[in-house]
Amino acid sequence: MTLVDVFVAFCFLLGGVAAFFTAFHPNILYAAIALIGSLVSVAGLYGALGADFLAAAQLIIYVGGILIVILFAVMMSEDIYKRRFFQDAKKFVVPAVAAAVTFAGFAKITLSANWSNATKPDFEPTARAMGWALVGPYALVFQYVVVVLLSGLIGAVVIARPAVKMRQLDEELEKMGED
Amino acid sequence: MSLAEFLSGIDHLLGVGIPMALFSILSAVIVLLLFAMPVGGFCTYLERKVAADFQERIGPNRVGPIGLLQFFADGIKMFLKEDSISKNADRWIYNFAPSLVMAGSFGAFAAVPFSAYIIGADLDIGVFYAMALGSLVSLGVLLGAWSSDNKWSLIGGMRGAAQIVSYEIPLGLSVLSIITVCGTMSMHQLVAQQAWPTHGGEGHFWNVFHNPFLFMNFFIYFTAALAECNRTPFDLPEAESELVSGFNTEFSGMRFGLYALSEFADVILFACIATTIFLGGWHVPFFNLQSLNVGLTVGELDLNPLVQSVLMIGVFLFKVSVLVFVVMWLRWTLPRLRVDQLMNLCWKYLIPIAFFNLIGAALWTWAFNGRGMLQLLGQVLGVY
Amino acid sequence: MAGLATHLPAYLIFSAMLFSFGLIAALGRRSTIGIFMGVELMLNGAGLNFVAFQTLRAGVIANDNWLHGHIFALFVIILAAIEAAVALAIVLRTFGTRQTIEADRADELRG
Repeated sequence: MTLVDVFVAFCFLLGGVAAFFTAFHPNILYAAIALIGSLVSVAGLYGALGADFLAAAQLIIYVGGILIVILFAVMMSEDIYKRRFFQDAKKFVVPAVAAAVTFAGFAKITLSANWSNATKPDFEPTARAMGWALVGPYALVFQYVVVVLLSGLIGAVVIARPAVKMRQLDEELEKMGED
Repeated sequence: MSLAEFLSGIDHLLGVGIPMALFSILSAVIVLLLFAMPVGGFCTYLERKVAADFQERIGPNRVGPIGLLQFFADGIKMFLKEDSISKNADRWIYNFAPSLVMAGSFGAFAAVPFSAYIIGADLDIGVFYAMALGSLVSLGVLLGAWSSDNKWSLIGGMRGAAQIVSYEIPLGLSVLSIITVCGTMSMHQLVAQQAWPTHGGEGHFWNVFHNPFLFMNFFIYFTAALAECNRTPFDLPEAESELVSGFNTEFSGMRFGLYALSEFADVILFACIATTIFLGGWHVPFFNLQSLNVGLTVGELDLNPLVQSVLMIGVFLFKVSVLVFVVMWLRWTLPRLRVDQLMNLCWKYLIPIAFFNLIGAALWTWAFNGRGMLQLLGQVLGVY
Repeated sequence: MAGLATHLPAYLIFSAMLFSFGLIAALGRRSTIGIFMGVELMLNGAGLNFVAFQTLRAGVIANDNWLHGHIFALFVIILAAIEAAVALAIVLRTFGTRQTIEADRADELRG
């Protein structure tokens, strides 16, 4: 048993408990905070698997970006001073059964397979190799992701524009049509 | 060096089992805190002295000679203050948020190269790691602000998070241009590349003088780092004239102390990163400290690395303290920006300029085969 | 617990667990943000699977060293970021028109 094993076990524990609370905690804000635990534990597991670049990317994008956005969405859209963002437990019955069946299926497949020929990992630094892959065999996919990112951002800006401006835009478009 | 390598390295080093390894990690954390706490505390003293100088006052002068021990008094006051929590505060998050901020700003110090021999962990992704841990700060600010159940706090926290997320982009772009030029993210190698140019073509001197684009990017980095640390002129999250004290209004005692300390730790951290990636770390002009040979030995032991380390740490900390002084200078010179001005500055000016510089730096590296201005000048003049 | 760090099934079970909890949140939560958080959990489970296979089975699956698993996990993270931006926009828009973000209440188009 090495320190890495202890670290991985800790990540499993933290991630599992946090994911449980993310799914079941009645208060949506606490669920969001529990999500921090899951994401950080996945970052830790990336690190333990030798994917150091991915671990840092996971932290900087998920924790520094996406979670902030989620918290923003919670705080801006729910009436936080009345604390009324609660969830009733009945809604969880059917999804829980579905998820249990899914998990049982995954677990059965995983445990019934033969993993004896697993390779011994070598922990080379990954950032350089990933960079070469992104301009090598994955260049086209990378460009595709870039286009998706751009269109997604533009779409988000268009959707989130205030309604008044949207109406002005419609009127302007109509005028242009009349001309 | 990857994380798994780092952890198993500790295992090999000790070879004495888990409890001992955990103990050593714990002691490293305690040493780090013992380093960061007095430095952060000393910064509060320095800030008050600088402020006093700018306003032609004397400043703290009662505790110790010229008030040098003032921060001890402040610290004791913080510890002894009543730890009040407002009735509707969300206790769990309220207790948890300051530690997130602490973890973000202190954890990143592990990757700072104080000398060629002293660095916590020479990670392969050093700069990226420091920035990633720094992103925990915005989360701590936002959660702390929300949990204290105060509208001023919440507005301050929202501003803080939005500001930090926005300014992370120009910050990341300016760091990215450095990575493009140097071809590495390891702090140690970044510093090693910035030596004074020699005949062998080793080193291109400080990155800030590598090419005009990096020179511009240094100022973009500095501006963005100011905003990341919530320092004036970007201290909107804690604007006293509008928001009482911003996101930390409801915090008292040591919890407030943690916020205040980690703000200074953040300033020092960004100054350390700026020094490392732009200002050449511990390198000085005209001379390579690592080739210094004083010829001192104690028995079998060569004292060279020790002497070099002391000089390197001196040079490094001098550069860092100059940057920190500039930060304090700006605080007492510039007025605060408005929110819309803040966002305009980031999205309409800093980000396009940083993009332009990134492309420019990449083209320069391609055109001159990675050589800096100083190296090219040396070639033209025939110095080497 | 010895060798847990290189034990592939442990990672697979863990990521299946993340996926399942994510599924529960995505199907069971009433609030749009809760659903979104569930989707994030599911994406994380998938990403962890990719990296675990890359590190522990790369020699068996592919004979080049392009780090396919890492690249896929990176794309998952990037796409999740886009998703977050669009989701925030939709949530704010929905809240602006309906004063609620419960997914059940956005039912104007129901016949």
